[in-house]
Amino acid sequence: MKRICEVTAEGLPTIEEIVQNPSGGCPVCQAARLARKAHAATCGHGTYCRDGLYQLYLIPEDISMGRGSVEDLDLLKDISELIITGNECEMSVRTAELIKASVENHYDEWYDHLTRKRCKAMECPAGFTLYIDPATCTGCGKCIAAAPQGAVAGGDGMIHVIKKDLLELKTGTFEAVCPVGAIKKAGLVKPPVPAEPVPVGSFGAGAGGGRKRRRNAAPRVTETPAAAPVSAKPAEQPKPAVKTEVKAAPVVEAPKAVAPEAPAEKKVMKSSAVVRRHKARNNGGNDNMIQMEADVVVIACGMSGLAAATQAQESLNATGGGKVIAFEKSGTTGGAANMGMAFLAFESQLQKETMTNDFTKDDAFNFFMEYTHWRSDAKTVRRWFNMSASTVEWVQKMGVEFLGVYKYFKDSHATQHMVKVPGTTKPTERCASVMIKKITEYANEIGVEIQFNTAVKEILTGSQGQVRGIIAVDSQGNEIECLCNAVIVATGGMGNNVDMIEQYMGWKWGVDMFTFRIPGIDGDGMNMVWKLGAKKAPVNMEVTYNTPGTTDVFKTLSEVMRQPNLLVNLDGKRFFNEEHMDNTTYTGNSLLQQKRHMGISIIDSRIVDYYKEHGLDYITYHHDIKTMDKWEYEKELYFSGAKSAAENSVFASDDKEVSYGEIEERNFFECQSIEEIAEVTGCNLANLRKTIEEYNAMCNGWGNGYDWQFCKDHRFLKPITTAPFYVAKHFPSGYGSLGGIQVNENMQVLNTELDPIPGLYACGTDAATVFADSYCFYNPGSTMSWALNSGRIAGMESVGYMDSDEFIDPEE
Amino acid sequence: MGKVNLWIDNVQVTAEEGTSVLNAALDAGIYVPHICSHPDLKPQGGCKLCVVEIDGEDAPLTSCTTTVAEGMRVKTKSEQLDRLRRASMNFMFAGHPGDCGGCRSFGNCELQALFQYLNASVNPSMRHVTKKTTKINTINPLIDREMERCIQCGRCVRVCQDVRGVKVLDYQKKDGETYIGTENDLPLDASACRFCGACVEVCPTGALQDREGTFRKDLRREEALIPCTAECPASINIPQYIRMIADGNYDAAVATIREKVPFPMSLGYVCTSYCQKKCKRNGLNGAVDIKGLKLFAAKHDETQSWRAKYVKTAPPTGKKVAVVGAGPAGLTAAYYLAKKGHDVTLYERYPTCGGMLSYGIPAYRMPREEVQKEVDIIAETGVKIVPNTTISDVVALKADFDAVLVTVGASGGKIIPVANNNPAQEATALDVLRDISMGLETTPKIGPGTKLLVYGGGNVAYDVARSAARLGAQVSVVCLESREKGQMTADDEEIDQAAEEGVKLYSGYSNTGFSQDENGNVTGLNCFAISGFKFGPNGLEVDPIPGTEVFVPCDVVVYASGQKTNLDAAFGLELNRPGYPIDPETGKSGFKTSVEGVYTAGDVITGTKSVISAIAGGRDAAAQIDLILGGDGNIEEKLADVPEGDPYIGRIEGFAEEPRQHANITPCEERRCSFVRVDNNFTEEQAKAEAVRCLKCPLRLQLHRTKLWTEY
Repeated sequence: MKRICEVTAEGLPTIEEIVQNPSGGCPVCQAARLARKAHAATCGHGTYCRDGLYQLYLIPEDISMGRGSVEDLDLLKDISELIITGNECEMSVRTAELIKASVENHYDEWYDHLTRKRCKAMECPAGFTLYIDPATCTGCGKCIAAAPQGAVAGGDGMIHVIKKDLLELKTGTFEAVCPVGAIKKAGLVKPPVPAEPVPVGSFGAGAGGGRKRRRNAAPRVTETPAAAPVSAKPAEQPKPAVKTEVKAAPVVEAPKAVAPEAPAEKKVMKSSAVVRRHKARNNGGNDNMIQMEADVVVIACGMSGLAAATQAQESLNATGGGKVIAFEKSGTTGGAANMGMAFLAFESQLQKETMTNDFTKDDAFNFFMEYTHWRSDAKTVRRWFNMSASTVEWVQKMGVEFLGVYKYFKDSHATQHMVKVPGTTKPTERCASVMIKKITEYANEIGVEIQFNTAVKEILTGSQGQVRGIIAVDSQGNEIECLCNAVIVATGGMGNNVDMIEQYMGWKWGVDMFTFRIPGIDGDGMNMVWKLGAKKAPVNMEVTYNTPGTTDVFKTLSEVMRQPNLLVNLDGKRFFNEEHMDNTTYTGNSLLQQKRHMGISIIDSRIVDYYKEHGLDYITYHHDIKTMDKWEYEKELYFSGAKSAAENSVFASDDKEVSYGEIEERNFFECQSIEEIAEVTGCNLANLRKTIEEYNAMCNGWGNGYDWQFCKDHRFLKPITTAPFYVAKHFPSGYGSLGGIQVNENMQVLNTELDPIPGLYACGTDAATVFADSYCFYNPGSTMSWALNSGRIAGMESVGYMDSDEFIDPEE
Repeated sequence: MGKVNLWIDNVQVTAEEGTSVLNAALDAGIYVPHICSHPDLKPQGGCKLCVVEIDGEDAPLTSCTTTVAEGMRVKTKSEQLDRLRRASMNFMFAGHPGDCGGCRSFGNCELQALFQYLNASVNPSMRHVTKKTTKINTINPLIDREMERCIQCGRCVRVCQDVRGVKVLDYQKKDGETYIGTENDLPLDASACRFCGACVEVCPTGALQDREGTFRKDLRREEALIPCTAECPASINIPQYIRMIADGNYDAAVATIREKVPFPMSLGYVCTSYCQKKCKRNGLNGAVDIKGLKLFAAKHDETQSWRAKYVKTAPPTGKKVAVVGAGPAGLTAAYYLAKKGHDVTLYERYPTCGGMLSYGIPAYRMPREEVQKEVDIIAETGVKIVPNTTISDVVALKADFDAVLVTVGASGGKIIPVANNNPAQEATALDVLRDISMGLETTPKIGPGTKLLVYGGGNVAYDVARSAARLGAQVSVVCLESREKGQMTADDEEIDQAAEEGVKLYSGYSNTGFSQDENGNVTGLNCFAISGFKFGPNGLEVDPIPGTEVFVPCDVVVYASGQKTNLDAAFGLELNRPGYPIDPETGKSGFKTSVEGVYTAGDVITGTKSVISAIAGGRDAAAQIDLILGGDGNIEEKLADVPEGDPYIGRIEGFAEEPRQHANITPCEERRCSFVRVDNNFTEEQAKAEAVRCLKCPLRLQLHRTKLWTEY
């Protein structure tokens, strides 16, 4: 286009300079500076240079202040390209080229700013933290005066502590306030600083106030190599308690390099600083046992274990440092949560933004306690619900994005925070794995060590029953002994353990229960803690229902047969208000009351035609079937190859333990008569005839649209009259087990006397006793939310325990 | 200039060489979105909405800055162009408020229309921009600047710079922000702004708006934008004659006035000047003195080059028309009817023509010889004037004429019933004024030592008061209307000059009746102040202010409180109760009467109103009678051959402060005892200075209106 003015690009850097970034400065700040300058220099007669360049500096400035979103990067490139096309003057075009080059060539750095609020160069106020170096601070008070009230704590001669990480402190001038340069920048992990002001000189190596109780107090020194192991609460005067002298710290072992013997294929996310050979332990361990030490050991790294490990490491980092090791049986993190999509929170920022904050945490608490008849522990529920919103922000900080807040079915509450897969605008199956990756990356960054393909076999205890370590076996069969101060059990229940399912719930898997069986979820945690005298709490299934071989394979067939039409049992009688078939817990529970736990859903050709014309009655975003487009195709495919298709499904497992009976080859049928329905399903013909006659009467005969049996909404009363009929058999299913380990609101594992076992914590589905007898699908996203929040609680509490008077030295 | 053929969206278009592609497309009826372009302004290429793709060009071009070429192939719609246009919209909207519903431009906003046309949406990822500079210079006379609505298209800048040459508006920069500002951010009234309104006219959004109340909303835009002409009952092209006065072309100025009215001089003396009340300059520092300028032009019209054309009449039609009453309405109608070739006879009961101009308004305001000069010009058209003749039976008169127009005015005064009055001491204003005009002694006599009480608050009351003062009377004016509240209808200068001449005013006063002496003679009126009054079902209702009683001594009372006609049933027309002829079809006074062929115009329809209204009524009546008599009814004349106003008006420093000129007024000592003229009108220098104050409202109509996409 024709140039509007002749402002030249004088003084601007070259594209090469931007790409190479020789100064190593922050590209975001650089872009903001360039665009702001260019915006001021242009004549302003053109829309692109005037308002486009405006955006080009507002957006980077926002990003710098932590207010950007990932979409901003495409937006920046887009705007840059537009300005280049607009060609209004050399100044605007060159600036746009530079910013485009910056985003393209330093994409990772821009992306880190957006997703994780990280600024490598520590220029962006939102991308770093400030701390006052306790070794340098003289307690002069100048920074207190310069900061907003309450932002910095301290008194005369006390080491000052930054209490509020305010953006306004980080614009450059605040650091200069300190005459001795004690105000310093830090990245993700701050060096140890006191939590509260302490007298100058009392904090640090010389003062001897370190976290003596810890086995491994070696701080993860990244920013300040000079800093010595220190404690969070050195100012605390030792209380005149009997235990005081026995809490003397064991000498910290000098860190050694990674053992060269470590198997090459073993996946360790952080190079371990503590793995070492150890001979002749007095526990009689084998000579080649690999020795490790940690402050906190997390058993299994599913969603809950991952949250626990991450939170524990955060808590340790904030209070002087420490080490978390998580042992994971499989090769990756996230466990069963990898098939999930969303998690619950109440009154989160996202809910406020989407105006779905009408169901408050108080409402939720009252509702939930009513739902569970107060068989759920109120303190635990309350703590979970109250912190749920903060957990949304917690993962957002790690770069997790959300699509929005969703219901699960029409009567449920909007509580599910749907994880966004980059580049999508709709809920995507298994999308939670995106979140798991982000949390894993973050955990890795802050110092969590994850030992993959390593199963924990035993939890070791000390003389007073306190936790003192674990024994694990890696994929090579090497035994590992890891000594620690606290253990968090997060093994995800017993969903894959058919024996335990039968023993504790009474169902024969593959006969009358068709749950998901995530490999490895074998009840390890429960078995280990029960052995230590933990109370056996009731275990339940998170029940849903499915049509084996059809659901999740022939999605249209399955979805059509899950619509609120006639549902009978083997006696040929109705047993459920089919209107609630969208509440899978309720449907599953009612199926569990029937012969062979079986329900038979029947529709006729007119219903099929109706759905073809009007669409389905119920649509779920997770199955995402809205039309009958694929009905004929799937029907044909199913009848031609039902067996082979079914074999590919998760239910056609060739697991040797499935010996309870044969999986039905077919669970979906086309029938020409009611007789045939009875024949293929084994249903009582006489009763079925009577049921259909009565049902049709309620639909449009003399019943006039009133379901006098179960009060189903008249909209869903569609008569069964015209062959061919379509029939599906539904069985209870489930996502996994809930409960087994009794915990309190601090996720401490309780013994049979309901007293905590010192240093032992459990979280996730192992400890999901809160759900009592039935999962609450009215609050969708509960399981994952429980996993995250119980994990975080366990993480915080295990670290808190180490600093508390309740702490018992593991070696006692 | 040569023609160029090109293809726009596969349509062959022929355009003048040198035309922009944008204009070629728009002229061919192909809409290309644009907002910084305007038909009267040179292109800027800033908004980027008019981008097009041209075969052989790598990138899209702004069509407003691209000239047509032979064989050029242009594409105005594509995904790429859509994207560019939406991006522009997004940029503009980033700083534009979302409160369209609160904007006066809603529905007429080009930005809003483009938003529709481009299916644009506000990109929520774009940062909302709150510009600090929008609050610079928001308080101005006449023009509301809501600069947060400004998209900086620069149309106002270009119109101010290039079209008007005023060069007050320009792009400015502050703290990196671009904004449309004035020189040194001065308020418009402290700059060289001419308040021509061109910037408002071209603004595509609601950023620049006329102050509410500046223009009437009940008129067509073309009328409303020139408030003086819109208010003038005779629709005189006021801005044009003011422009002629500024140019020193007084001849053309008078010709312009005479295109609508035959009384430039008389109106210059006594016009009610509705125009001045709505003059746009009222919103700045007071209206232009239009009346004074008119008088100046009439006085300095030495060549009268319009005159020959003016008195030329059409060939005789053979139709006879009688006009009864030679006041302004009758004279005007007679003039136009004569011009149309009709045989007009004008009957007047008094010795001279002019009606209220000669027998109502005192000579110190309306010099009699000036009226006569204007009547003489009318007589040149062949109008037969029959003075000293009272028509008492219009039906009889009609027998001799094809049409009769009754323009007898409202020449009967009204006497208000006041307790304890003495009829021997009372008179109506009109009788008193007529007697004084004719040099007769008034009844009752007003002379030196008379204690006169004038009841009424209008100009007529003041005409009586000031005339009586000149005769040596001690005059008090009492009226219900409050001067503080602006309720009095008398002109301010009348009231002020009368006060100088010793007239006492009791405004906002009612009374409990007269006091009489033992002989039954009225000695004065017992008055009290009121806080308000209204005419309810039981007549006058007042709200007295206690403790304000005052006794106004008087021995003569003149009522100047409304007029009525002097007609009676013998006249032959159906009358209503106050004596006005009515049209039986409507039951109201109007052009037609109860007698076929007899029509009315002027005050006899409207009651006492104004000279200019009577003239306008006379014009309308003439046109209608001409139609009835077989003419075309067109009485419009083109007398002034003057070019359109020059849009390039240039700068005048301190224009907003240019003070209103004040004519030389005869000093009080000289005028209080004689009937010498009070207003001596402007000097030439003053007249020119006053004429320059005109805001040149019509220039705005020279600017083309932009068309929205809906009009293509």
